[in-house]
Amino acid sequence: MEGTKLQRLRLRDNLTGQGLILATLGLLAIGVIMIYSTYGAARPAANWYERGDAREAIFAAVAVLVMMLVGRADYHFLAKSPWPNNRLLKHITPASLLLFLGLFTSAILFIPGVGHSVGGRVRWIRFGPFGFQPPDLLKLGLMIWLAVYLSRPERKMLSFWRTFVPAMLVIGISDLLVVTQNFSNAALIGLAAAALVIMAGVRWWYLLLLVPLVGAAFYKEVVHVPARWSRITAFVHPYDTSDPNAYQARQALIASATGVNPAGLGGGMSKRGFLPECSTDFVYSVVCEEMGAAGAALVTGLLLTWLILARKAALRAGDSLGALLAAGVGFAIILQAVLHIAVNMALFPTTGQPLPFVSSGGTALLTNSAAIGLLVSVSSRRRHEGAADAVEALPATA
Amino acid sequence: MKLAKWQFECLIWTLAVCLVAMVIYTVAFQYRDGRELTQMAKRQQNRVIPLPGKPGDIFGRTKNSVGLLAGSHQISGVYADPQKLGEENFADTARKIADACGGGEERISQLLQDRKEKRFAFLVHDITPEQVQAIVKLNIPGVQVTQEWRRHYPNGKLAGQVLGFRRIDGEAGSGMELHADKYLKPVDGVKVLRCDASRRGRYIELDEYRPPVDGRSMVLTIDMNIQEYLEKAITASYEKFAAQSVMGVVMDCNTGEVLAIASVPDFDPNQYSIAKPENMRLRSVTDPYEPGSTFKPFIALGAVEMGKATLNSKFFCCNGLFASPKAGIIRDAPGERFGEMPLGEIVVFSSNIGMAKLGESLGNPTLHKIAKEFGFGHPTGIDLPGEDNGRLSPLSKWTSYDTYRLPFGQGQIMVTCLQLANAFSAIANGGMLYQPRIVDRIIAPDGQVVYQSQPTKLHRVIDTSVARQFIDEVLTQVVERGTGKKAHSDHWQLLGKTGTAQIGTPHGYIDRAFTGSFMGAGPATNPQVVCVISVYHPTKDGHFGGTVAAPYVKEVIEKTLAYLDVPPDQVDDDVKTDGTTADAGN
Repeated sequence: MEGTKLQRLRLRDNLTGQGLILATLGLLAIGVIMIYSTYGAARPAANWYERGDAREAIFAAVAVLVMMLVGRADYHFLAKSPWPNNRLLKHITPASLLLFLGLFTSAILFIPGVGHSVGGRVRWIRFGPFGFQPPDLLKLGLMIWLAVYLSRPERKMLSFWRTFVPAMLVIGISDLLVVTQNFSNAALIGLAAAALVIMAGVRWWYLLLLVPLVGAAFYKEVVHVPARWSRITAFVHPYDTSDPNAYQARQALIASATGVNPAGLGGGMSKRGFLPECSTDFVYSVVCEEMGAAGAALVTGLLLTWLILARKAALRAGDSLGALLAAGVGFAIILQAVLHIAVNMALFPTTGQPLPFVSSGGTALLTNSAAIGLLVSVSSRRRHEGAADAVEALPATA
Repeated sequence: MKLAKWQFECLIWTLAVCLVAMVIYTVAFQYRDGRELTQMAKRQQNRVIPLPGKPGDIFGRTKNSVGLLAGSHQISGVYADPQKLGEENFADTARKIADACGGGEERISQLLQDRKEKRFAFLVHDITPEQVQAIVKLNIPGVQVTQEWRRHYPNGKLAGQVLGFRRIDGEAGSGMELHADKYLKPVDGVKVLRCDASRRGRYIELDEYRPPVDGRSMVLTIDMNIQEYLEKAITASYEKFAAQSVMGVVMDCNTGEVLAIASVPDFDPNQYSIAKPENMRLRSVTDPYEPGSTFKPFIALGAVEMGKATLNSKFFCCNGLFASPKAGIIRDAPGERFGEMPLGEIVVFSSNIGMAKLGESLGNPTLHKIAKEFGFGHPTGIDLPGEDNGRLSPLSKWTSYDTYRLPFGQGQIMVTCLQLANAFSAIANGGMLYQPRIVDRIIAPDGQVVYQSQPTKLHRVIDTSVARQFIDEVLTQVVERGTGKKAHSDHWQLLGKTGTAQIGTPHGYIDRAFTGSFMGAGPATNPQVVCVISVYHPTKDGHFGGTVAAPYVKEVIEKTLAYLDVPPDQVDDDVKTDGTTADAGN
């Protein structure tokens, strides 16, 4: 295997990994502060674990732990099967198990009594005080599995039938499981997966074949249903007070715009019942309201830094599995952030996408930190021959 | 091959550009729409609590102090925040409020509907403490009880037309309330609370606090007692002679202060809503009329002052009928046939023909000049709304008719009661025309006097000695042996002049419709007060000024002089007799 040729860099020598960790920690810190701020307006909770800010702090700590642990691990275990020589069992890898777990948990949401509904939609599985959102797991699982699948040495990237169609089938199934409950999550998963497929070298115009299919489904399920269509188009006229669907977009814009005179941390008014879901789907607006343009620039700057480091990690990765993992995971997380900001600024239909690392939500936090861990892991493994001079030079200068 | 290079770069840099574009858009949006959306945010967060200020009081004077003519007391009212209420709840809320404290379900519902975009709608004014309890018990979020100021006029009709009224919502309606509104009107304060989005609107912080500024109070020159004398007198005349209206003015002739001014029929500002609009008018300043014979002294005196005649200049009075080719037929009062008479006697006995002859000798420009000198044809500039100019047509419109008829107060001349009183004051005080005043001082809420009016001399009309001679030889004689005998007082020597004028319209004079007036002053040795009463269109028991107005002028002046502690000028036999009989009684 390729892995034998790779050399592990210590974290102190791994500038890319350090940068990724620092950017993530910065975003996490902003997140914890903002969640603390938004929950400050909430009524006092009966139990400590019902306090969203306390939970967020704990999750953040756990997330850091997960990130560091996964960062130390060798990402190749994802592709390793205990039975590498069995023709069937060699497909049972941690990656495919993760994907299966994601698909399974998403599927059992449909069994009555298992799912916990929020806002009329079943999105949660609850264990006591802790909830778990399957789509977050599915997203990570799918990206990892695709990276593993597309990086197999025997894969012919240009093959339509042997690479493109199987990948699209798995993506399609994942999307169908999510789409009924959360349209934007499905779109996000689909887009990120498609991007990964393209980045892996599959001919991009193959994807055009899907356009009529997706378009027809979109038309039938969304455009043709006036209630859904008006919900989606409400963001075009956010100041129309007669349209209840425009309420969130309007409130998000009000919160963002009042940041021209920043209210200061904890001083915002929008979280006092005006802006719904301000700790998750509209946290960017609250950042703008309380920290003004500086807050917006800080968050976006960290995300941008993160993206550029992820790109570097992907380009310098020791093998194609690492490259695809870094590219796919990095793309998915930043795409989600862009979507979140676009929704907050009413540039995109109102839909519930949290801002990675900043919005509250334990499942997303843990899966995202695992993803960062993978990126750190990728960045710390370089090909021995290609980067020999760099690797050997480092101890000398240190 | 690890990655499809250019696809990878394309996708990654697309995202990077998106991120940068987003943050640029965010900042641009903040600077472009920030101000407007901050306002929108305030509208949805702020709860406005009005803090009504108290309108200034209006005081009248008494001999040594002041008395309240218009004051304000605090009452409760109900208001709502239509936005918080939500349009779907309007009908229900209106019904509940109407049940609790009246006010009409339909009306309340309409009020809410009219102001549905606003954060404030006043629903019901003036509710009782029990109704306040009922509203509080309803506990509707967005419906609140507040305090407001309500105007009251403790003396009822007294000086009602001078005061005017202030509406239930605090807006001035007429009279002094309207004219001096910029002083009386309070600046309402406001308390703006920032509240959260819950229906109750939990208080978060104080956004703005502006305390109310009470209105400034004013003291009028009106003396409440003299006002009472005047109103009683003109009401008596109004009732006795079944007049269409009666106007009256009492002035201090040495300062230009209006001590009393009224007209009947009048109204009670406490019940302004049921009053007739025409009764709210202070006719003494708003309604001009032809002065008739009361105008004679001004022309005669003007002629003497200008040296065109003396009191002894004789004019032939044609034995009661003067058929002039230039002015038609001029008659004296029925039954009066005068021959050749000196000018003084012409005024004393009020001969129209004699005055017409005087006019003939003076000519139009002189007549116009005399009338103008006394302030006719111009508003006096008193601080009351709706003052009429009277009428003194420009000379170019005058004809030969006016040469003959203006001297006895017909034709191109119309006056208001106040103009007449002010001009007569100029004669009474020895020839100085004053600016009539009704506002004595304005007092800020902290008690500081911000305005104090002073006697303002306009110009000297006639020489003091001329005026004195005219008073002694003519105006006192009117009361003693002329047309105004009914104004004779036992205690003070009064002076005055009667007037009886036909009521004119643009289409000629109305048959048997007259304005009977009397202008008087006293005491003659040193005149203090001037009183003019004009009875407009009396319909029974007489119409001459000497009958319908003179006795009432005498009554007012006598009471006023007594009230002002002016000593009676003749300690004559009558008084001595009284004294001795009183002693004998003991």
